[in-house]
Amino acid sequence: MENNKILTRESLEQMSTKQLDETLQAELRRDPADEKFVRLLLSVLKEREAAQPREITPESSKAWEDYQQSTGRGRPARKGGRMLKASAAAAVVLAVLGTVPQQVEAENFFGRLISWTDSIFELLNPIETKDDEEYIFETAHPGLQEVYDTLVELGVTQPVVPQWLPEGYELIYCKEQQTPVKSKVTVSFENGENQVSFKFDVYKEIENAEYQKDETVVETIEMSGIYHSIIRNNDMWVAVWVRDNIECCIFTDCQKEILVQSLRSIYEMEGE
Amino acid sequence: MKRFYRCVCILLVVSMLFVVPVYAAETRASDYFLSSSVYLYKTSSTTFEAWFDVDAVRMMDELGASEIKIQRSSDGTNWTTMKTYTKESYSNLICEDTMSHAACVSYTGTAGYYYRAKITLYAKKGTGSAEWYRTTSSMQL
Repeated sequence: MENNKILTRESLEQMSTKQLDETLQAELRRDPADEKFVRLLLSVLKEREAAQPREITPESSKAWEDYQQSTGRGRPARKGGRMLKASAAAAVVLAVLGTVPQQVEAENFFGRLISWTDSIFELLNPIETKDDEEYIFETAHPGLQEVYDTLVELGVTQPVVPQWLPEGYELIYCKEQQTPVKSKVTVSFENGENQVSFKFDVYKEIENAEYQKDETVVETIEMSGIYHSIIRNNDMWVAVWVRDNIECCIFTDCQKEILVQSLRSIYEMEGE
Repeated sequence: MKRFYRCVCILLVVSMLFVVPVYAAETRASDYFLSSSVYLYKTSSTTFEAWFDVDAVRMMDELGASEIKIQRSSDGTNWTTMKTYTKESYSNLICEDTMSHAACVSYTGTAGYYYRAKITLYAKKGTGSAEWYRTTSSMQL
């Protein structure tokens, strides 16, 4: 696939949607994939879908079934057009590869491609404008308030911080880091036995991240128009999602229910 | 005796029907690493930084990169290692008692060549440790 790199937007636009899909999947199987080429392919595919929405086959994924079940067929209605923005943002979750094609699961809905292998889950972050909707963060947990305040200082005002944690968890770790492409906050809460940790990457430029995972199938939970991927990494449950230019992650060695409940608490003020 | 061999052959054939192909996929789940990103960042026409950003699933005694190899290519296909940075020589590559670490090394290359970095991420807790091999996308100077 080395000759992919000489393909131009014009030549890609001449290809059928099926050929574009195949080229994209082939590129994703390269290690490392050419990110610029992947973005170019996605951009052409996105334009193609915007011009002529296509049917998406739901067979291969429980995530898609869940999505259909929760929202009905077609684009779900969202307040403030957030879903449209989220879709347009084309949060791209890529699995890059080095594993056999048979292990690749892939999805593509409304320009959002999700794929993963038995061992890797990769997130290619979009840059998108902020949501204008007003959001009020309310928590009784001083540690969560501290996390929220830290993010506000970085300019993050979107709902990304849980407003709830189980009893007994205290903030024991908080680290802020800056790189040329992002600001980053990592925090951890512990109760003496278990931990619940968060990671927020606030991107200035697009960069991709890989998450380690085991063979457990990736699950997708939609809340407030945002798709949250639930990954298992040995004894850790990990939730990963993208809101605007923020890559968010909650990971815990507690039960999955704790993770999901923390996730839901993010959107409590948004009617979820 | 002939009947015995025939039975063995039948058993072998039948057992082969139940063989499930096993692919040699590298498993990357670990008790150490959560996520990482690696990339090159151009700081001038001939200078760039090789960055890594690694997160652990819990507090680590040591976390970062044990080695960064800067590689160069004239065609984007055949690569030669130009310089190797190790944690022993560059203390900023490793952070102690942390869940997250981001750092970089700076390199001056030659215009017209492609560059990439092969980065060995490293985590240590107690007597155990783990490595995660990542390669950046290539960049032409």
